[in-house]
This record gives sequence, C-alpha cells and structure tokens, in this order.
Amino acid sequence: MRTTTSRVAAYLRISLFLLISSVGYADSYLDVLMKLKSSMVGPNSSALQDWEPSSSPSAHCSFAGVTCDQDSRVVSLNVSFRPLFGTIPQEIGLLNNLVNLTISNANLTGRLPLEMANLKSLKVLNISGNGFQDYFPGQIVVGMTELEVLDAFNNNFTGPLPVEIVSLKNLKHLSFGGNYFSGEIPESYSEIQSLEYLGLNGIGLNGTAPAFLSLLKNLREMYIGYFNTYTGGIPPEFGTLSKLRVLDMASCNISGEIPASLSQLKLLDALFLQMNKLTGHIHPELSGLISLTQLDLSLNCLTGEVPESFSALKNLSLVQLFKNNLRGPFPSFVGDYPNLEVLQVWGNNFTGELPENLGRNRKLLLLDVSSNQIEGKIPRDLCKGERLKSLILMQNLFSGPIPEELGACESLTKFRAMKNQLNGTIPAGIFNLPLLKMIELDHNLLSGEIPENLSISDSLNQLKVAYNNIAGKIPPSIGNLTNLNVLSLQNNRFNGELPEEMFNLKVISLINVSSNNISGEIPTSISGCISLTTVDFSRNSLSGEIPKAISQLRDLSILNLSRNQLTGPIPTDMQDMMSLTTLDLSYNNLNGEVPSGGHFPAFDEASFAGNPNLCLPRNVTCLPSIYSAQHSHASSFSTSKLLITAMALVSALLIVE
Amino acid sequence: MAAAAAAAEAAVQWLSVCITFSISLIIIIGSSSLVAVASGNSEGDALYALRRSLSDPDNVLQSWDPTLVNPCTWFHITCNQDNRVTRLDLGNSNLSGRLVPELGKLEHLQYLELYKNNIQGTIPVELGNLKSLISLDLYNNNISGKIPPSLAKLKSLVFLRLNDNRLTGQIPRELVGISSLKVVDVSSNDLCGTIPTSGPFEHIPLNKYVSSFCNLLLASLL
Repeated sequence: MRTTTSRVAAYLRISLFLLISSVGYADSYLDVLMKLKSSMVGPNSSALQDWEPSSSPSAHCSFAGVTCDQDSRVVSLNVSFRPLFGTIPQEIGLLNNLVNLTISNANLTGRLPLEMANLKSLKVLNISGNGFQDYFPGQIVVGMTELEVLDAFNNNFTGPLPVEIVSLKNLKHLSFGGNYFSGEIPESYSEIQSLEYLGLNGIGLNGTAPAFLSLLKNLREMYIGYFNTYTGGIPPEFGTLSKLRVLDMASCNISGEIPASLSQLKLLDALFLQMNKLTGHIHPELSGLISLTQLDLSLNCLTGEVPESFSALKNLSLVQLFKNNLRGPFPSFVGDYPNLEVLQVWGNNFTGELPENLGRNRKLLLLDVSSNQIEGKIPRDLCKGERLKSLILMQNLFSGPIPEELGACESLTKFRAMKNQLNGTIPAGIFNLPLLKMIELDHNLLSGEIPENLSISDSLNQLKVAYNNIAGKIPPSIGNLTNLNVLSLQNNRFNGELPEEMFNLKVISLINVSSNNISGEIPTSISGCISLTTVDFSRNSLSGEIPKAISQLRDLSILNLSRNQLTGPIPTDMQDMMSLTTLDLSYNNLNGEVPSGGHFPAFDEASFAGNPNLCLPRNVTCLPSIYSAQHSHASSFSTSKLLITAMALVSALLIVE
Repeated sequence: MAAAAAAAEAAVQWLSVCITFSISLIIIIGSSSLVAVASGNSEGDALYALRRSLSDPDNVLQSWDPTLVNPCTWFHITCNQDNRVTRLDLGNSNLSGRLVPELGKLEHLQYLELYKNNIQGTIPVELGNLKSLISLDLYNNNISGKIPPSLAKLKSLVFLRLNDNRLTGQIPRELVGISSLKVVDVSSNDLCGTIPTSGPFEHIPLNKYVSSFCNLLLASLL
C-alpha cells in the first residue's frame, strides 16, 4: 500500500530528520549510541550495561560491540546473540559512517526505520534472527552502493520481495529466508550479477520455478526451497550455474524429472531435492556431479534403478533416497564409497544384497534400508569405525546370523531388524552396549538365550524380541535395565519362572511374555512396577493365585492372564483398579465369585470363560465347585432350588421329630 | 498546511496498516509450524500439537520426536500393525496445559488415557471424531466447559470417565445412543439438569452423579 501520500510523508519525515541532525551537532556519537540503547534495550533486558554516558569524547569507542576509526567515528556496530527486546530507532540513520551493522538474534521487533537509507557506507547489513515486521523497506538500500551482505534471515517480514536491491552492484550475499514474504521472485533478481549466495528459503513464495536465476553466473549457493510452492519443475537452465556448490530446492512442490543438465555442475557439493513430487528415473548422466558429497532425493516419486555410473561419485558422505519407488539391485558400489556416513534408502523396492564391505570405510553413522526386499547376510564390518549409531534393517529378507561384531559396537543407539529371517543367537554383547536404547528384533528366526549377566544400564528403553525361538530363562538381571519401558518377549520358548527382580523396574509400562513356557507363580512384587499399563502373561503355565498386590497397579489398563493354570479367587481388591479397561482371565482354574464392583460389570463373559469353578455374578445362585459351567442358567437354578427344598424338608422333618 | 494535513493523513494510514499487519502476523505466526517435519504423518503431527500444548515437568514426552516417520516408537503411544495410533497412555503424568482439536484426527485411537493430571481448558468437540474410541478417561483434571454432544458419535465407547473436573452444563441426552457404554462417571463436576436413565445409563448407579453444585433430577420423575 505505498500510496503517494505515504511516500511523500516518509520523504518529508526523513528530510526533516536529516535537517535537524545536521544542524543539531550536539548529537555526538555518544548521544546517538545512548539513544540507540534506550530504544533497542527493552525493559526485560540487561544488555549493553557498559554503554554509559561519559565526558570523554571517545568513550563510545570502547562500548561493547562498537568499533571506531582513527577519528572516533563509529564504523562498526556488532550486537548479536544478546536478548535486547527493543526496536531500532530512527537515530540509527545518524551513524552515517557505519560500514558494518550487525544486530542479529537479539529479539528486536518493530519496523526497519526508513532513516537507515542514510547509511551509505554500509557493506554488511545483518539483522537476522529478530522479529522485524511489515514490509522490508527496499528504498533504504538504494544508496548503499557498497553493500556486499544483506542478511535478513529469520524475521517476520511480509509483503513482496523488494526490487530495489537489484541496483546493488556489489551484493554478494542476500538472505531473505525464514520470513513471510509472498508473491513471486522478481525476474529482475537475475540482474544482481555479483550475487554468490541467494537465500530465499522458507518464505511462502509461489510462481513458476525461477529459471531466470540461472543468469546469476557467480552464484555459489542457492536456497529456494521450504514452504515455497512453485509450479513446474527444476529448470534445466540451472545446469549452467558452473560455480554452484549448493542447490537446495527441498519441499517446494516441484515436479517432473531431475534434468540431466544438472550433471554440468562440476563443483556441486550438495544437491537437496527432497520432499517434492519429482518423477522419472535418476539420469545416469548425473554421475557427472563428481564433487557431490551430499545427495538427498528422498520423499519423491522417483522410479527406476540407481544408475551404475554413480559408482563414480566417490565423495559422497550422505545419500538419502528413502520413500521413492526405486527398484533394482541394491547399489553395491556404495560399499566402496570412502567417506560414506549416512545411507538411508528405506521405503523402496530394492532387491539383492548389501555389499559385504559396507562400513569398512570406518565412517558409517547411520544405515536405514528398511522396507525393501533386500536379502543375504548383514555385513560384519558395519561398525568397524565404532561410529555406527543407528542400524535399521527391518522388513526385508535378511538371513543368517546377527554378526558378533555388533555385540562390540559401543556407539550403537538403535538396532531395529524386525520382520526378517535372521537366525542364530543374538550376540550377548548387544544387551550390554552402553548407549543402546532400542533393540527391536521381533518376527525373526532367532534362537539361543538372553544372557544371564545383564549389566546395570540406564540406556535400554525397549527390548523387543517377540516371535522368535528364544529359549532359556528370563534372567533376574533384567531388573538391572533401570530405564526399560517396553519388554516384549511373547511367542518364544522362554521357560522357568518370572524373576522377582523383573518387578524392580520402575518405569516399565508394558510387559508381554505371552505364548511361552513360563511356569511358577506371579510374584507379589509385581506391585513394584508402578508405571505398568499393560501386562500380558497369557498362554503360559503359570500357577498359584493372582496376587492381591496386583490391585496396587493403579495405572494398569490391560491385564491378560488367560490360558494359564492360575487357581484361587479373583482378588476383590481388583475392583479398585479404576484404570482397568481390558481384562482377560479366561481358561484358568480360578474359583469363587467374579467381583461385581468397580469395572467388572464392563467385562463380558469371554473374560472369564473356561474357568469351571468360577462363578459369574449374573448367576442367581452361585454354589462353588458343585455345578460346572456346562449347565445353563436355568438348569442350575432349578437344581439348586430342588436341593434347597429338599434340605428344607429334611430339616423340617428333623424339627418335627 | 497541505504538507501537515498530508502528514497527518499518512500517519493515520501507517497506524491502521500497522495494526492490521500486527494482527495478521499474530495469526500467521500462531498457525505456522515450528518444525520442518517429513511430510506424511498427520498422526504424529496431531500428537506433537498436543505436546506443544501441554506443560511436561517430568519429561514424560521427551521421546516424542516429530522428525521420526511415525509416532510408533514414542513412549506412551501404542500403534497397530499399520502404524496407526491405538493407545495414548498418559495417566498420572503430572501434565498441565490444554487438550488440542488435532486429537480428533487419531481415527484408530481406542484408548485415550489422560486421567489424573492437571489439564485445563475444555473438551474439544473434535474428540467426537474418534470413531474407534473404546475408553475416554479424562477424570481427575481441571477441565471446564461443557460435555460436547459430539461425544455421542463415539459408537464404540465402553468407558466414559469425566469425573472430578469442573465441567458445567447438562449431560447431553445424545449419549444414551451409545449402546456400548458400560462404565460412565461424571461425578464431582458442576453439572446441572437431568440424568438420562435410558439405554446404557439404565444400570449405572445413581450416586455417580452426585454433583457438588446442582441438585440433579431423575428424568423418569418428570
């Protein structure tokens, strides 16, 4: 809304201001800086404490962040990463010798004062990381002919991108990213020939993908993705930006194929095209990107195979291709990449095997190949550099054993290999790795046992080995895993008893040992696991009674003890378990009455079926151990009625006698 | 003179522009997401919206990492085979703050356990969209406002525990339409009006509705 009226008013205001400032020479640099301080430093801030009035004419030159020239004129102002909470006042325009104005990450707000147009010597203007709002007043830069750096990254500017910056002949670094500009990138931006760094990411721009930016022949880094929404695809003209090191067009709605012409970018270090709608095959010609160290094409709709020619990209350290429709054999040449650190190709249709030398470069940090159709063995040397943090292989066709070497991988934090065909014993060392948080090996063919001597560890949160052939006892040392949250051992061949020590675990919320061969009783110490929400001991050979102490588990929501050999009554205290929403005690040997209070009316008969001596409250009479559940309600009612009548008669006769 | 008038007019214009932009900025800033998340998991986003709305001094939500592809490895979250959230277990977790409408997006959610916290604000009407819900446990919090009639859409609901809050208004009559209801507790609130006595409410003991504020009348007496 730049009406003529407001323009005239602004012009008048600045002229008036400059008039006063040139006449009122009483405004020394010290005075100006003190005015700056009073405006920039809000009431909540205690910054710039040393900016204090003084009688010395050049006292201001030793203020923190202030640099003077030999004539005590302020040439540089650098106040960054200090919370100021104020605004920039119009007096900033009086520091007309400023070469460097950097006030970044200082919680400043408000609008940029138009008086900044007076800073004609400025080379660096950095106001990034604040909360400046409203239009970016492009007219302030018109006179800044020496300007090399204009950094307004991460503010709250709105409106269109200013076109006035096009007149700047020395501008090397332009960053408007992280704001709320709207509209399209002005075509005139292609005239800023000096530009080396262009940051227009995360703004809210639209329009067709800006092919005209390919005219910026000196460009080294271009960030134009994130929250921008372009129509069309990656302009093939970008292949002519021969000095480009970084091309970032992630998450900006671009479609079509990745142009083969990009292979001309011989100096390109990073290519980020993730989270778009790119289709087609990856062109083999792109192996011409010989300087590439980071490649991210994930979350697109790419098809076809990874070209064999990519074996030439020896400098790659990050390769992310996840969530596409890629197929074909897993590219074995990645095992030869000397600098490979991160490889994520999950969610595709890769077949074949992982290269046997993967990880031998001693640099691997993260490997995720899950949800493919990869077969063969897990390579032994994945952790050779002792740097591997995350190993995710789930939902593939891996076979063979888990390499023993992984049991010594002390850097490992996550190991997820569920839903494969792995066999053999889980290397004992894995359970004692100092940083390991997650062991997820469900649905494999693993055998052997959990080691007896689990050391005290506060790292393991989740231990899931369900649906395997693991045997042996649950070791008492499981109580040493103090931060265990989820323990999933179901559908294995565990035997022996539930160790009491298991119930020392204070933060455990789920224990599932169902479908095993566990015998013995449920320890009363179960009440120690106060965080439990799910307990499933079903389908075992547990005996003894349900401990009363179980009712102390106030947050227990699911309790499944079905298909065991539990005897005794259902503890009436269980009526107090207000969180219990799912209860299954079926197919045991429980007796007595099913409690009628608390939540018990909500549990249907299936929860208690298969307990011949258990009596449901729906039965009108409930005589223990005489009547089996095979009788219908009606027949048991009439039989008991007969018995009572008979007893009454007999006692009547006796009395009469 | 003309310049002064023009200046005054310009000043008024600037002021009005400023106010409009400030308001729209507040709206824009408030609604923009703070984290660039991998696209495609609306359930994780919904739960993360809940996390941002809650105050969590015991760090029970520490594992809630929105950059993961789904929330199924987060603690206190249970998913089914298709990686859809079926349980949210945050009872007794020292949480405060408010519930969020995004919770209504969890279409496969069966158990919403938020009892015994210090949650304030109202029950979002969007909770009526949780068509798989079996258990809604918001008891022992500081929740105010009305019981939304939209909860009548929860056709699988078995447990409805809203007791020990500060709910006001009436018990929506529509709730009698939930035939699966077995356990209902709305006691210790500020509810008024009549208690339904038909359908699932028939067998629920009267003393569950003793309110600290109003006298409740049996519907059947009218």
